[in-house]
Amino acid sequence: MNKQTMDFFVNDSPRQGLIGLSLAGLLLAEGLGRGEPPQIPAGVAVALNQAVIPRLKWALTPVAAGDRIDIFSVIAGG
Amino acid sequence: MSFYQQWQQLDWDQLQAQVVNATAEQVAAALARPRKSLADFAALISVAAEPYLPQMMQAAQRLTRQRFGQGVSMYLPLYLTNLCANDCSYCGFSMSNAIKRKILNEQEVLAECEAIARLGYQNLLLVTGEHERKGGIDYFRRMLPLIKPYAPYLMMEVQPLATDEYAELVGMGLDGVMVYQETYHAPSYAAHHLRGKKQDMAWRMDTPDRLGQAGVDKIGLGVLLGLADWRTDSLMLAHHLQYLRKTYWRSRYSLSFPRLRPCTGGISPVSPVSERQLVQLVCAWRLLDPELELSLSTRERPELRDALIPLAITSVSAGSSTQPGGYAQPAKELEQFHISDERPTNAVAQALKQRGLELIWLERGPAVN
Amino acid sequence: MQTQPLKIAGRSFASRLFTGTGKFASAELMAQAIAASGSELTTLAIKRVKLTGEDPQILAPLRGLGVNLLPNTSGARTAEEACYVARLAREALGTHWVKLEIHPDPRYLMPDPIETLKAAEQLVKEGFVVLPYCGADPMLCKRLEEAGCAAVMPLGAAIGSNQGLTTRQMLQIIMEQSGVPVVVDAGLGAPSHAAEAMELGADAVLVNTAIAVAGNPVVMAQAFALAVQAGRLAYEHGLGAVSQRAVASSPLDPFLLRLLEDPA
Repeated sequence: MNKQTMDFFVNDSPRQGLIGLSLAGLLLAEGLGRGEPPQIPAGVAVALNQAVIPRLKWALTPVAAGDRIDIFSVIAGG
Repeated sequence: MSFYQQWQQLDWDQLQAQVVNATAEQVAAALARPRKSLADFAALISVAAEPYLPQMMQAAQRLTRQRFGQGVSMYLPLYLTNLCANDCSYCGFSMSNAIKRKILNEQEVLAECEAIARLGYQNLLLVTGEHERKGGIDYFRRMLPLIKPYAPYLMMEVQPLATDEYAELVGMGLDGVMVYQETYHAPSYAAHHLRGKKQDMAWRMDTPDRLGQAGVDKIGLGVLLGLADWRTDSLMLAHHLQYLRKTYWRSRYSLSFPRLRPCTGGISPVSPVSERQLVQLVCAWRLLDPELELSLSTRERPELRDALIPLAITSVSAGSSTQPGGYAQPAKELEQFHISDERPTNAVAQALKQRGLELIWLERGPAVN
Repeated sequence: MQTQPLKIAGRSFASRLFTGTGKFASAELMAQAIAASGSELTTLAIKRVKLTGEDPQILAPLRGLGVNLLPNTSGARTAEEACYVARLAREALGTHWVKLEIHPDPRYLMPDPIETLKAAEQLVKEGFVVLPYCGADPMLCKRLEEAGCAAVMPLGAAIGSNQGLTTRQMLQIIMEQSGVPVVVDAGLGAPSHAAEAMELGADAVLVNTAIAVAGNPVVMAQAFALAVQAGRLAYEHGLGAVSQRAVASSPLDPFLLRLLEDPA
């Protein structure tokens, strides 16, 4: 394993990424970006270890080894 | 948010018009509806409802028996003082009235309690004038521990207090508080309350809010019938009650029906209420609110009391003295108003029993005290 | 003909029909049906994404309609989970309104009263406008109101059951007592059920399944809109009472009979 990478979880699935990865970078890496340049659409929310992270802080929040990231989206429902 | 703010949104003239313009059709529709609205109540207290009075009496009696069984609660007023720092045009206790003033001390209070206990009463209503300094919270703090052993169900009819004061008294065994708005008609209120803290209409009107917040078990309301148009005042009171029921739903509510009576230095009612109208009003309240406790005092004459109580009344006094110290030592010159039903307790009890009613000498209070 | 506007937490609604976005065959059909209903408030849910790269198709058409969005906490089984979902929803949608629903029971999806009250207290503290879905329990509704909820949403019948107002008697008590708007939610299967709730005095109804799974959801949405308006108009303009059966009268006291004859 490369020393530059770390392990963490996204929606309970194991992931690997470069140290220093931000939440914003992670969301793009997960294919959630839309448009050119890719942006994360409205209706998405992210929690880092069960704490909700506001959209404005995604770019400033680094992912650490062992973190559990949960990505949520709005869906139809009654 | 308190009721005073809601009351400011209510228009007296509009409510009055609602009652005046009520039609026989509206009365009939109101009678047919299982749950009455405030609009129904307006119709039921109107002139248009007078031909329907026999039906109203029957319906009121049915609802009363369905909810309260045969029980009628017996209470006795205990006048602690006739000292008063208000001047109210209709009241014998007014400070400008040259009557003898009296405030009971510890020994006198105990003597009254002993005399009352001998009559069999356990539901007591403490009554005072409104004198903050001599008959205020400090006085109540001293007297309640003496009285409570004689009054397993203890109510008060005194000047409005603050929420924390009510809460403190609840902790000392206070179960109910009666506070009558007298009138919701601002010009009449101003005209009849000439001096003293009672001039503050908002403070008085928000008293039931404070009682609800203090967790008082029973909140007693009423208007002084005849001071202003009694029908509009009653409709205002119905708005007040509806607000209170929604907001302070843990409390019970009771209503009294004082009609303006002659007293020392007194005035005549601008809107007199006949006995028949009083019966109509009591029945209309029962139809509006089947769970409401309705109280009738000894201000009314025996014939009316004996006939009206079985229809809708749930709480009555008998053998009352309206003067401080009157049970141990009667002395008429101190009294607040003349009573009309002067029969002793056992005579009233006999009359009610003959009409199939059961007397309740101790009200159900809070389960944990 | 206009009905009085409904106010919840300072926001005014001309339409008293609230809708949901679930169970529609497509996002287009959903948007058309909600537009046809005239609804100004519609619910949606929050779920963890499957990370398959699929777009959430739902938001864009709703934004186009200009309808207010009410995220719900469905899926939450405890107060803690519900608060978590509410916070996520606030981030995802930029609204602090939330329909609080907690149903640990997967079969009938009955709302858990104890967890709901706990969550309501917490979310109010955090500044949410809380609309709790709850059983038709008058005491619970008063407690939720005291906790600071902006409305209460008692159920008419089990979610998706189309049974109508099986809780009618309790709903009547709730409406009589409530100091906040009462929105009848769940179980309304036909426009007549919605009209009945409005005639009783409901401030609004929420309908989802009955519209979404109808043969023609767009027309059914219109039918519900008409029913809600008819029921509300009837309520506001003095519905006639059903006559009670005659009751045998007991003889009146002689004093009262004399009083009745008096000219005064």
